[in-house]
Order: sequence, then C-alpha cells, then structure tokens
Amino acid sequence: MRAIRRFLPFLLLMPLGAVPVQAQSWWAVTYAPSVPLSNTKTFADNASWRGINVEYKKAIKENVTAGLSFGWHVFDEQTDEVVSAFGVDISGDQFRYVNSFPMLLNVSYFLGKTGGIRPFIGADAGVYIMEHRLDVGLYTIHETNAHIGFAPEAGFAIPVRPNMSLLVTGRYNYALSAGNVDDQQYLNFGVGFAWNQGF
Amino acid sequence: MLGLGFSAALGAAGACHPNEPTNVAELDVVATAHEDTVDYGAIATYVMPDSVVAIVPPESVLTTLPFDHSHDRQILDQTAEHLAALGYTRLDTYDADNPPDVVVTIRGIAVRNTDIYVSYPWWGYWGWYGWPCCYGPGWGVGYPVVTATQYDVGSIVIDMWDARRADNEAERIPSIWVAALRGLLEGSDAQAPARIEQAIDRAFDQSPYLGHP
Repeated sequence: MRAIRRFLPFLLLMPLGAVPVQAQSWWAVTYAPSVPLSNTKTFADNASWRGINVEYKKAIKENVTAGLSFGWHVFDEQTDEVVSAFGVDISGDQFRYVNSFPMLLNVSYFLGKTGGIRPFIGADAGVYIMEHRLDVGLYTIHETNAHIGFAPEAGFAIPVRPNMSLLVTGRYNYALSAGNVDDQQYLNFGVGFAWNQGF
Repeated sequence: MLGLGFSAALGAAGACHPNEPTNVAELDVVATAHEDTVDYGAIATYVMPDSVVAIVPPESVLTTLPFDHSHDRQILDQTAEHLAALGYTRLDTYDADNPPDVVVTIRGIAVRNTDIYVSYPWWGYWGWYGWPCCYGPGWGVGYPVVTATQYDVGSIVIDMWDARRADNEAERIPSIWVAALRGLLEGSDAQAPARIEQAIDRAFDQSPYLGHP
C-alpha cells in the first residue's frame, strides 16, 4: 500500500505522456553521446556514451520554432595521476565524473518543405546544472553549479511515418564558469525520434 | 511520448557515476609531503629501525585496532630497496659520534571508522496514514532513515627526519618527508602484499626530489 502511495503521483502524471500532439509542435527524444572539449576534457577525458535529450518546439512563424530542451550528459574518467594541492602530492585511483543537465531555451530555423527532409539550425541558451565529482580513496570532492551557457545546434529530421521523423542533431555546448569550476565545453550528438505535426 | 522519455530516464538512473571502484585496492591512496628547502641530493646516510611501530593517534584512542604486523618485513625491505636505489646508504645503528644524515621511521595505524547518516527522504505519502484522519494527501517528509557504515582503515606512515638539524635541547627533529599510505582493511590477505607494494612504489615514484643527481 505504501508503494502505491509513493508512486501514485507518478501514476497521475503518466497520462501527460499521452497528450495529443498539437499542430505545429514537436516533441523529440534523442540518445545523446558527447565528446568533451577544453576544461571538460581535462577533467574527464572519455567520450560519453551516456546521454539523453528531450525537447519541445512550437512554431512561432513559418519555418521558425521556439522551445525548450532538457538533457543529461555524463562524462567520466579513471586515472591514477598525481594531484598536488596545499603542498601535498596525492596519488591513487581517481574516479572523475561530470554530470551535466542543460536546461535551454531554443530557437530553430527549418529549411526544406513540410513533409520532406527538414534540415535546421538553432540557437540554445540557458542554464547548465553541472556536478563535478572526484573520488579518490575514501574521499570525495564535488561541486555543483549552475552555469549560464549557450549552444549552437544543427540537425535534420527525416520523415519515417506521418507525424514522426528520425532526428539527427549536433550541438556545441559552452557553459560559462561558475563557482570554482572553469568554463565547460563539449560536443553532443543526438539520434532519436521527433513526434511532430506540421513539419 | 513523455512516458518514453521518462522510461529512458529511469533506465539511465544510476548511471550518474559509472565505473565506480569495484576493487578495494582502487580505494588505496598515497599522500606525500616534503620540505622545499631541503637538498635531498646531499643526504648520504640514514638509519631505519628494523620494525614497524604501531601507534595510537590521540584522536582515535577508542577506535584504534591492533595493527597487523604480518607485512612488516615487506614494508621495511621495500622501503630500504627504494632508498638504496635513490643512493642513500643505510647505517646499521645510530652512532651519536657519527650520526646519519636522516632517520627513517615507519609507523602503522589501524582504526575503525563509523559513519552515521540521518536522512529524511521526501517521499510522497499519499493519504491518511495517521489515525483517525491526521494527514491529507500530498508530499511530505518521510520518517528519518538512519544508516550506519563501519569500515576499518589501515595506514602506513613513512617519515624521514633530518638528524643534521636535530635540536637536542628542545628534543626536536624536523621531518623533511612523509609518506602516508592509506587503505581499507578489507579484501583478501593474498591481495595485501600487492597493495602494499603498489602503495610504497607510488610513494617513491611521486617523490622524485628524493633522488641523488
């Protein structure tokens, strides 16, 4: 019974998943691997195979949309390099993680014609919630900050059935420095589907 | 469609921190510190007592465990090998008339740590779990959950003391290099020698200034 109580809010939210697609609107879910760049690469060098993007777009004029996008991108690296701080050199297996949660507003411009392949370019801006964590031995150093950031984006949608397209995107993410964390950059790709109407 | 996204998110849950340590040896840490002003290349001789001394830190009197001396020989020999490779000559005994440049000591510490966490999960208790009708539906603070973890930690501390600058009146001798090797006292006994060897190697590898030109 307690389990039902716990999950009831989620159950009540589930019907939202069945909201009919509105005209000139676009929901998309993409698998989103990423490649770290700059300071992000210095901290966690491995390409990320863990990532997801969810986005919504709505037409505001012909070929132009505005919307929101949310994502979750995970970077990690294991290293045993020596870290020096406060006159002490520390070595051991380090486990480094970056969890990035971009929450962006976007504006996109679509090329092509309705019903055909639709290339698009876009500009995203918003906030990246980023957790940087370093585990070494029994110790954990972590910091979570809200980074202001922006992300130019390009992609194309290939219709695969009525109101549904295969979606391929690429996005360059640049998050400004925040807290004790320098600016962060990474490329992120998306492959998934868009449930759309009027595109 | 949101359902699909939600399912994907659930599937990815737990992936925040992939590739976390799977072996206790991956939690071993070595920390070293040294004095910048010392010319380690000028150090020629040293004395090292042929034992690892178990100590009880003042802050851990109640939680100190007996130190396992079964690996003392390995610790002492491996330290001596590294110092020899660096060009240090070991003297058999401390001779006040012909003192060594430095004294190297090795200490062992074993401590049981207990961490207690109290958390208040924000579960959505939907409904009337009080009697007769105390709470309505909604989100609220759940019952506190108390979690206790206990783990034993062992440390080996290698100190290098500068006998040339010993202050006999004040009974003080400056420490010019220290290596603290710390790890969980878990895992198999068979794994211990390899973990100790790796930790001592790391201590000297990350201290290249100890070498003689």
